[in-house]
Amino acid sequence: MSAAPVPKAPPPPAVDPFEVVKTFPTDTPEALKKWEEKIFKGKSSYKVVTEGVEVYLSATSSNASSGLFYRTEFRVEPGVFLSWRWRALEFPDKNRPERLSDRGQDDFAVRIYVVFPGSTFFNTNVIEYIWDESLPEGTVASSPFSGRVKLFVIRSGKAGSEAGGWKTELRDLHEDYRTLFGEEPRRSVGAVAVMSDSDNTRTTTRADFGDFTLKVKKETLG
Amino acid sequence: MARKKWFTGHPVQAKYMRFVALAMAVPALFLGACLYYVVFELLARQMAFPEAIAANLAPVIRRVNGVLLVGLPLVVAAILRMALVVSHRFAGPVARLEGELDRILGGDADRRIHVRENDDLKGVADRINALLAKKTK
Repeated sequence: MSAAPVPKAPPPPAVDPFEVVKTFPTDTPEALKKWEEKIFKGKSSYKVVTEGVEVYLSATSSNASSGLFYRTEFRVEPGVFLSWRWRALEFPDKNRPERLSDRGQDDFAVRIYVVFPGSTFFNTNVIEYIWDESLPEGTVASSPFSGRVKLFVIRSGKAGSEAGGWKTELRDLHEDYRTLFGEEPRRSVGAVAVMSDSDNTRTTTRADFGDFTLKVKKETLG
Repeated sequence: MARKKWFTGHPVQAKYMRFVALAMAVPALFLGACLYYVVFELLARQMAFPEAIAANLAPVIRRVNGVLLVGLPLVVAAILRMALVVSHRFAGPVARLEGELDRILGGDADRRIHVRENDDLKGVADRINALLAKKTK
């Protein structure tokens, strides 16, 4: 007599190694009110777009420079990650695309700022995560405006067709800060910001993004 | 009568000069520093994005610093001059009074103390002169 086959145990549910500790919502016009709009030269458009189940923030900039700034405060200990999804749709047309840091062409389809404020601007450190059209991922440069502002290309090339071109990022803020500034982050993060600008190149840029989330690796939680 | 020298060398002048200079410089520097910090800090906070701050605010700060570099020594010189003038108004007659009294005590009993009409110690000098006149009668 053969034994009844033992039903296979269902696979254990995938355990998310991260715990969400903070979100920076951009999915409704009300949520966007927490993001301060800063206009420098003309106004880039930031609109909440709903496509089926997809909700995201769509940015279009034509010869303009404005961004959204979310004030917050959190310490960057080891195991603290910032996550978001984005897709760059139209890049600024640059004469010298090989130069990441260029005062005359300081435009990007999308860049995400993580600001570590000091007592004044002059000792404020900033990481800018950039999706560039041609520069390879991992390219780093100081901003043409300040050595304390680091431009960091983490995506390169046009958004593909897979998954609608969306890419999800999960950046280890502690590690990135150490890599870019060569020291431990001693100050808390004071803001997260986004910008799609095109004023220097006088062209048009387009990008979508959303789901900004601060996560902590569970194994680092006490 | 024009003053021959503005610094008498009397310790009381150094003391009052220091006091007057500090009384002028400390509030001025405190207010200036507060204004400088608050204005630029508030503006930087308002601009928020580092590129905007660096492109717009930093040149203004550099220009203000340049003006301060030239202006501050002039302000300090003006404060020191004011401190010298104000302290001399008090220390000058004190030094003269002490010098004249030393001569009288040294035996010149007919000597009288002369101070300027608008000196702050004119009343004291007049009374000492009256006392000396009474004593020598």
